[in-house]
Amino acid sequence: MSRSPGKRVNRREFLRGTAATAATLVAAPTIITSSALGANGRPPASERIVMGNIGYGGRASGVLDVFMAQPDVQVVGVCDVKQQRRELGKKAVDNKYGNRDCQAYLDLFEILARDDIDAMLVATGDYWHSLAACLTARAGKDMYCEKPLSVVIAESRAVADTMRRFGRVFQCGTQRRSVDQFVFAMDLARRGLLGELKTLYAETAPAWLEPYETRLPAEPEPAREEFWWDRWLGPALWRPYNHQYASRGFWSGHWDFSGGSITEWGSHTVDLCQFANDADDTSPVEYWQEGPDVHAHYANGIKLVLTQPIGQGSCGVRFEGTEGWVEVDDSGHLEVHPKSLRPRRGLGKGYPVDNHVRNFLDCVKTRQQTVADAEGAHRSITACHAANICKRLGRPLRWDPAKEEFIGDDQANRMRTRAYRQPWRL
Amino acid sequence: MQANKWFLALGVLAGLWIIGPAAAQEKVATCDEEIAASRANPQALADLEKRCIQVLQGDSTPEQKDRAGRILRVIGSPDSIPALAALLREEDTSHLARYVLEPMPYPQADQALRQGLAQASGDVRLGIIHSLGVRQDPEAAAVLIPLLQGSDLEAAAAAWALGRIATPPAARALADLRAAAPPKRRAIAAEASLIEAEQYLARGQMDQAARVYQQLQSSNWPEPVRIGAFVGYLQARPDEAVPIVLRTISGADATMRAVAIDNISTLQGEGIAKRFAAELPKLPAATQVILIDALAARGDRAALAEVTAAAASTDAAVRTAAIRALSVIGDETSVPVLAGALAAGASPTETQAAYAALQRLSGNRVDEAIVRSMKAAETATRTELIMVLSDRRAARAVPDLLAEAAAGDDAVREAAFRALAELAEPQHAANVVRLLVELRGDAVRADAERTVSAVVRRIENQSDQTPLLRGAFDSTRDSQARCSLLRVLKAIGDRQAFDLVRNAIQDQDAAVRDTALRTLADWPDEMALDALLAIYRETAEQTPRVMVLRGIVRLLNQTQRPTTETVQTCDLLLQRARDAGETKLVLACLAKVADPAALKLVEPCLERPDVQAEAQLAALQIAGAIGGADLQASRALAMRIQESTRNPANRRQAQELLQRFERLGDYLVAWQVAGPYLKPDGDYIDLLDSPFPPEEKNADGISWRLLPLSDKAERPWMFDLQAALGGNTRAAYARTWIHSDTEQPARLLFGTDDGGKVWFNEKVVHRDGAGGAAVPDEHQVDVTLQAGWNTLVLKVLQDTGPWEFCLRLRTPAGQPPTGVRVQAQPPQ
Repeated sequence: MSRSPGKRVNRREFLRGTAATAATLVAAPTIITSSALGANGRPPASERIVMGNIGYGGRASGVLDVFMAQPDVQVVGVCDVKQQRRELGKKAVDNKYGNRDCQAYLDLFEILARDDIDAMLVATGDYWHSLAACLTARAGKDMYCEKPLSVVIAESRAVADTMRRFGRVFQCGTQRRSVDQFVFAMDLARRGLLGELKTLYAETAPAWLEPYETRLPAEPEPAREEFWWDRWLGPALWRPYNHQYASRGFWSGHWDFSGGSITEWGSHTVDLCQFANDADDTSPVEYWQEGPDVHAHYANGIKLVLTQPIGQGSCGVRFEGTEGWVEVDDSGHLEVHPKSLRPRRGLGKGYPVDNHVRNFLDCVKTRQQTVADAEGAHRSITACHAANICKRLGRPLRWDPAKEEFIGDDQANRMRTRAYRQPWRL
Repeated sequence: MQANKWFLALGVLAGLWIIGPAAAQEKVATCDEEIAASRANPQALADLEKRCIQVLQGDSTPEQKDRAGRILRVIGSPDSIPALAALLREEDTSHLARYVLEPMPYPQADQALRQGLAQASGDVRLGIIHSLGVRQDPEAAAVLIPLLQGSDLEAAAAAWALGRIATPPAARALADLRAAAPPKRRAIAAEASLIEAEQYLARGQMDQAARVYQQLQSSNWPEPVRIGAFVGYLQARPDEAVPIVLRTISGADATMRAVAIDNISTLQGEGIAKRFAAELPKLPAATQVILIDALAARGDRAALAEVTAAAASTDAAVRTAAIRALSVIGDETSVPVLAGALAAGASPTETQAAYAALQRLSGNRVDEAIVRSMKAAETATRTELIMVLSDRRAARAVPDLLAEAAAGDDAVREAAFRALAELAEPQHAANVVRLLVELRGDAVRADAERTVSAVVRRIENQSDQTPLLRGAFDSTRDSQARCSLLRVLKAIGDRQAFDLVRNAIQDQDAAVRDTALRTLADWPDEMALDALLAIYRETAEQTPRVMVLRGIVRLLNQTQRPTTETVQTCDLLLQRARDAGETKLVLACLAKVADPAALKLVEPCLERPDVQAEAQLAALQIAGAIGGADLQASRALAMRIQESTRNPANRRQAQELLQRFERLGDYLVAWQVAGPYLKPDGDYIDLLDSPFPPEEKNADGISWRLLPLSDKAERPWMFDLQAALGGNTRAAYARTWIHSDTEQPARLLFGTDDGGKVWFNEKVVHRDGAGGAAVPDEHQVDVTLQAGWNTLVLKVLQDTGPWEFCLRLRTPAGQPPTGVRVQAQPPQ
């Protein structure tokens, strides 16, 4: 596993907090996207980012709506292995634009082969995120890719490497990095307003959900056009078709397709802790269990606790320092100590993707790295996977964030990776 | 909508009740416990492995082999490899074998894969090539190189693996491929070469890496490859990075220019920031701006001296960039520079940049430095610096701010009060109350009152808040001060504060009496409603009467009382209204009451010329809200107003309402709603099976009320529970009655946000706790409509975000059913 070249945190913070992006744009004559070079009669890409979508489910429907609401975006294609989904996606896009131009694709290679598409929204099931992201990058396209970025550590390492290899702009769908109340909390931590940072709490999804490895009884396989079963399985171990696999309620609790409750929420909450700790280029170095929780600490001594619940809402985080603390979740609950740290204006609640989508689009134009780039997303999901492995093996683990390997634990190291089913590779 | 998060929770649920109990019993626990248990006992580990090997070698089912593979993936020793090698060749089992072999730390695994490669074909062969690449087996190069001449898929896999292996033979093969690849294989060559170069970087073989990257920067490679090679080259040749980046920034290739700028912030190497900074004075101004921004993005304080110098540049853009950069790399020594820029005010852009930089400047001694600069500054800058201290949450500056608020220039005092509103804590409450009591004149009074309100409300024990103000109120005879304190009491808003204000209506001081009445009329909650109604009944004087009526109307619209009570009160107010002005106020109140009785109250006013426009508007708003309950009457009313009104705005609103009615289609729109219901200490998912009163037989005291149509023009059929009830982590119930002339099969098609349950004729026909957006027709349930009345009840859960549902009724063939009508009221 190769390593990242350096920190991006200060840059992101600076670019987000100042007008530097605009200044850069002014200074640069024209910033163009990949497809502009191929031309093919298209208007200059700097005026409009042409997008496609891989995986049209509930999440994609919401995020794609936000993309389509951006004046500089044109969505032209939707790909899904399920006929009903891709037709639903096409209908949503066509309704938005008042035409019938959106193309529905069964095969992701066909949509990726389109020269006129600059960027993709990748919103597949968790276990397809990394593979789809790498394929998209190889096709020369930028992407907004949903989280969790991977189901094993090696996958997201490959994503980060591939993005760097091809100079792609990548935004992980960890949109809380762009949502006011979470940005506020991270800012308190990063600016030292909580004093010396001591402990970071990241909420995980309910602990009573333990993943499983069930194989379901075989059912007659649908026609490929209706539901391409083999493609749905993608890199996972093959098994006969059963319609229940494709239900999110089922696959998101299955180790072959998901990282379970820790990655489901941890991909947001651990990610926020990573950012608060200025740790986008590293991960905690030691993990151990305390009751149902996983504790970890970083090389800088700051402790990370994966626990639940936190606060009154869901998907919360709490950052504690020597001089104060902040607690925030997506219900709008935000608490600080001392009170002088409270926000000066209402910060809203929930976790809208608007700002995050906008940041991605701006970066596509400027070729800057996004607020949730692949390296940062990899490092935060690595912490989640390491916590999972710690729980699964039932023993403390030490992690070397430079080599990205567990120290002295061969079994844990084997769990970093998972062989892809042929013909897939990262 | 609680997208994503609850799906996991629902995995277990879905598994249990979608698959059914029998299938649920087949749910296979993970192998984790077996693996973890065996670790402490070498013999147990060996036994476990042995059993797994036997499973792989025997006539076990695919499920059993699958499980054995999952265990061996973690614990497998070289003993497992022969059994795995046998599986490697077979299409059905090859992946499982690689699943175990690929992460194994044993060279025997490489050997098995190499041998397997020779005997495999098709996709199985591709898989083995990939595993050899993942394992970076140097000995595999010899068998992979010939495959570069094979099919496209095989060549791509082999090239990728060779890139990862990156031994000298692999490098030579890839160099040949780069040099002579046919067009359709150039992408393969490029990716493999970039991967190869990455291996050199990781091994510290910078010359080899640079050589590959340099070749890939030529213009005949695709842009993504050139970008990757450019960035890689900078890593391989950090000593050359500064001139290369500067040259690229000044170049004509816009994409590479952007990439170069982006990379300044991540370049690694000894003294990079200092070397870039040293170039600053030699560069054209436009390039200086880019470079300063990029240096700031590095967050490297090594460039502080040069950036500080640039803040004094004769070029405005350079100065602004430097100021911006100081916000990241500056420290307390930057405060005088930034305060100076603030005072100089060379341009709005520069001033804003200086202000923002002072806001964000980090360091333990920055706040102190700002206080020093503030005390030394002239009024305008002093004011700005006070605002900066507030924005920085500089709590230690409160004593200085109290002093600034006490005396001096009004602008400075105003800023100081505003800052104190943000920064002062309960221990400062007495100080700020004293400042308010001693305040003379009106110049900063409003700010002082806001500050006192904010600070007193921070006193943790709420019952201590009003006594502090009461003490101040009783201790002064200054009329202005007492009026100020009354206004502050409104912000406290508790019963003690209310009583104090109500008693002040009898005060000897006319100004205090007037302020008390205004404060009461503006009271934030319905605590004041009865008192205001009493005053309204007894007051004849026009001005206070209108003021009080406005207060009543406002509170009626925010009351939680049943709508019938609001309508009754409005009825009384209409009867007592003395003129059109008062009637209009009451009509405005009725407009927000979703109750057919409100519409009846408005109807007589439609004929009164002096209030006709307001009555029409109120009628349309009520009709819009209750339209679902009596669509025919609401539509008729809207048409009547559309045709008769002379008011263009009302005509337009009537048209829009009619259009909304048209869009309702065949959705069921007559609903009553009850709730919200919360479960103390419960989580979202606990709500699903918690039986709240509407689920209990013969439960009393349930407040069912009409559910207004959504005000979303495009989707009026999507009922907005968030607008109607609001909040998070709760449940609501909606009910309606469906009359069918005959018994007939039907299908309920609906979507809910978040999850919920459905009862049809008192039987649960749907249960799903999954969060996410309400997708029309997402859920489909077949039911049988009895002849006569049928009851339909929905329970809709709310986690966070939107809270909605929509439902329609069709035949199983997808047609609207015939002989069916729906009503929101229980049938007689």
